[in-house]
Amino acid sequence: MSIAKLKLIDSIGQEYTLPKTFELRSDPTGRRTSLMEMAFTHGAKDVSDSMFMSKFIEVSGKIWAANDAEYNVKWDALAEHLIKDNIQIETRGRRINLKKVVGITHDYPLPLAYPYGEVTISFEAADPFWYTALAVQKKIIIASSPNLFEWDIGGQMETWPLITIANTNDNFDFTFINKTDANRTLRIIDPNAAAATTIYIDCAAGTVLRGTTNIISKFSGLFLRLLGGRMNEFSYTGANCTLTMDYYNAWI
Amino acid sequence: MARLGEKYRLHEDRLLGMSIGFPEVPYTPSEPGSLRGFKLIFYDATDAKIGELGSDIKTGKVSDIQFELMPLGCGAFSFICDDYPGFDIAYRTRVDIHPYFDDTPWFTGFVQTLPQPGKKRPYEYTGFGFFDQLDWIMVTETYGPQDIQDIVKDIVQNIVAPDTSIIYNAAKVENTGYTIDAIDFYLVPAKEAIQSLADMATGFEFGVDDSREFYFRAKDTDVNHSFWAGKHFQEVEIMENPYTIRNRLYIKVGLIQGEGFGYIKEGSNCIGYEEDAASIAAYGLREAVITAPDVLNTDDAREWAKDILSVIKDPDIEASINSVLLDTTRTKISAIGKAKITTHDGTEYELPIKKINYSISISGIVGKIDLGY
Repeated sequence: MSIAKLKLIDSIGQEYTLPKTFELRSDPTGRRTSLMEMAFTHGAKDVSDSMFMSKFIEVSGKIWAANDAEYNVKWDALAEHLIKDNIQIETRGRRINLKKVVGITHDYPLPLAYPYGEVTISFEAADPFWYTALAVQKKIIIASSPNLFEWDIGGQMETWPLITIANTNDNFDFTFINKTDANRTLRIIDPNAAAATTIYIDCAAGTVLRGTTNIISKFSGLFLRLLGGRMNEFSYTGANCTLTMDYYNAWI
Repeated sequence: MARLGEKYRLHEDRLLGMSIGFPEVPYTPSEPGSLRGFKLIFYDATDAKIGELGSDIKTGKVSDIQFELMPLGCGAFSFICDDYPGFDIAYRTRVDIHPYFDDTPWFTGFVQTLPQPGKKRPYEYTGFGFFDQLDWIMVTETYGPQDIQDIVKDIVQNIVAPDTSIIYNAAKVENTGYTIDAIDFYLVPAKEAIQSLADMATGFEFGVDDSREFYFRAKDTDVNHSFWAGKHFQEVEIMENPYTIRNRLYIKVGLIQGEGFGYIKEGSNCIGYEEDAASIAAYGLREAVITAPDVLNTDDAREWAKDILSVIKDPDIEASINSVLLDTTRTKISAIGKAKITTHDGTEYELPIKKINYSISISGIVGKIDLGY
């Protein structure tokens, strides 16, 4: 069995494979808590939003080289990636988004037969979840309305899709509901959503575009999310279209 | 066909005496159905929606929101973003705040301060409810004899609404049943003018609600909310302040009086006094002078003084309830009417609501209520 090496991927997709001696450690994370102790009451109440906290990812290992010049080349190549913002690290087929490096220790022990160094790098993972390396895409052609359908969403955590509505007919008013997520509903009333227009609803960033035109003013309701690890049932009411969702499965 | 030994390759159950595996019901995020969270919706000066910031997206941008509701309607607010929001927020941009994604905003106001260029992140925006715009407009008009309701309607419809974002709705200006003989406003801020009228109407309040509509209404004296220590709030502070008591008020008005007003000095604009005998008996005589330069009629001035006296003849009783938990009811608490609070030993207080401060942050959605006269 081959052991997959750790990879750093920058914001434009360039990959760097870490030396095989490198290993990864994920610092503890957990859900927020804000306990409020009530007068004359046992225990306390948690009033927090209970969201997961950010965490740190630590990568450490050794760099070996045949000579000092090679060692410096190897270290410089690694350092080139470390100083970038918004990189990802991949291990065992899953990736985590790293905001930036927050700590680098670089030890230079006395050379043995070959020069080597010991490196420990800490990254800040503002987003604490692991994701599939590639986006998952689901697509349905809507030929009648209302239309009920369900998709199996992988992963474990909730994830926010990019929803693309490619209108086959004029689609001036449509509603889209994730019935599995307590009927979370979005609605777009747009008199310019004619046939052949495309609407992009980015539920991660909270933007709504028709082509390249910002139509957030036509949007009401909530941006939808997908519940991981189960079937999600959807309801679409509107004109005929091709509905696509692109998302990443997410794990803790 | 399974390979030899594959059945027992993951030995946790054999080694640890426990089984592992996926639960039948998977993790469910943040209580679907309860919809904890919030949304801010922004509108430009023409009331066109320009953007929104909420917790219904992955990359939420707002770390902290504060806003307050008072008898005058929506008060101050602020919110803090990790970065610029991706659309233009300008002075007078309207902000509607929807806790728990409520369809009806709990607060509406407009932006008054913006982060200045060069400032480091995070960025804080602050503002106030539309009530504040009553201070932007001056009233110069003479009225009378007229019902107070008609005067207020004229000020709001013809002087305030045309030059502010405040909306005039005749149905929200209630009849007072009191006719003012004569009143002369000369370059008086609309807020002050209407405050004088509310005082003369006795028992009336005014403000701008979360629909931006001006209201002028009788004060609600019903108990609209009840809170129990340990159940709905963490702690309560109750204070009595006798230092503000005044029980005889000398009244000055906007005209010079001659003889015929008792002992009042000729040429003075003091038209007499109002007093409360019970308060004098209880707390001793405590005098003060109040002035209404716009009022031209002695009866009107006395009505106005009586209203003020009814408030300050007794000691201030103030209470402050900290950390009111809103998750249970998910219902907006407005500063209308009274609230009843029951302390841990069963003592009950019924006090008017003066202000509610709402806070939305990682510590949840909580309120702080100030009560008192």
